Amino acid sequence: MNSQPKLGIHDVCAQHFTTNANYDGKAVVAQLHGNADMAAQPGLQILLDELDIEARRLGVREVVIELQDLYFMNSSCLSLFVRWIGGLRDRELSKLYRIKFRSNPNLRWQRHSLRALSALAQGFVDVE
Amino acid sequence: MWSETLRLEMEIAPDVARISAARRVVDELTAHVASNEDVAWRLGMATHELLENVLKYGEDEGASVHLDFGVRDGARVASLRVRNRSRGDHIASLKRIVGAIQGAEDPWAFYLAAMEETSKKTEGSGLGLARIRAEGDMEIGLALEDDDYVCIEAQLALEDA
Repeated sequence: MNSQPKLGIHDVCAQHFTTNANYDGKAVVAQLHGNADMAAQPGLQILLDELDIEARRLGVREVVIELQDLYFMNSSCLSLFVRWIGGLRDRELSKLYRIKFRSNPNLRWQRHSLRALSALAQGFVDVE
Repeated sequence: MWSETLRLEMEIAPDVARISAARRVVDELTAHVASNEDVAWRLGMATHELLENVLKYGEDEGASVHLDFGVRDGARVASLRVRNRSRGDHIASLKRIVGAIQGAEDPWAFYLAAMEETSKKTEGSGLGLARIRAEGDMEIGLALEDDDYVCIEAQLALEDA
């Protein structure tokens, strides 16, 4: 029987972009699939807002974003991550959690864009 | 030694699906021609970002895309040009952004500064051109025609020049 609390995070089910999220007892984990382009932006915005709300509610120390099957991200979607990280950076330490990106080294965009997000975060973003 | 040439021209009325399709065409074709997936990704990403700008800010539905691999000033380059009719306010904004990018000594520092600005805004990105310059390692240029047509060029130096 699954005793983990139910997450208040809606899955995104767009034509070329889908997400699902769960709580593994330590971290909130979100998987992103497909292409994060203009059509994905509204759903991604809601996902990141809900991830933040749930991470704070559950008091987790880490949110994991799995990108192994995310083939592209445009700059508008990237900017949503920039704002999320920017908002976290201004937060007091007790309300701060780490963000871990699980990347796919075969997808070129991730090497470049995650390098930029890591630099912006100044220490609380991990890429593996 | 890379020696193939490529010239690709598209007239496109960009929508979300066509922009992703155009990116994949450029990505896959240039991966074969250049035998370099990083070159392909950079050109595909730039195609995507420039066409999304057309969709967001263009004055009418069409844009032309020109991609060619050639020699400029004795060096092999890939040149991507996207031309469309645009609004006056957007052209002014483009001039300002392209001028700032061209004047930046460190493209990555400029990109991170643009991200810092974006992190404080509630909407909009403004990261597309800075991303092409930093992540894509491409030079950015701008040309105006007939007052309301704008052509953005992203130029990538090829390693095997």
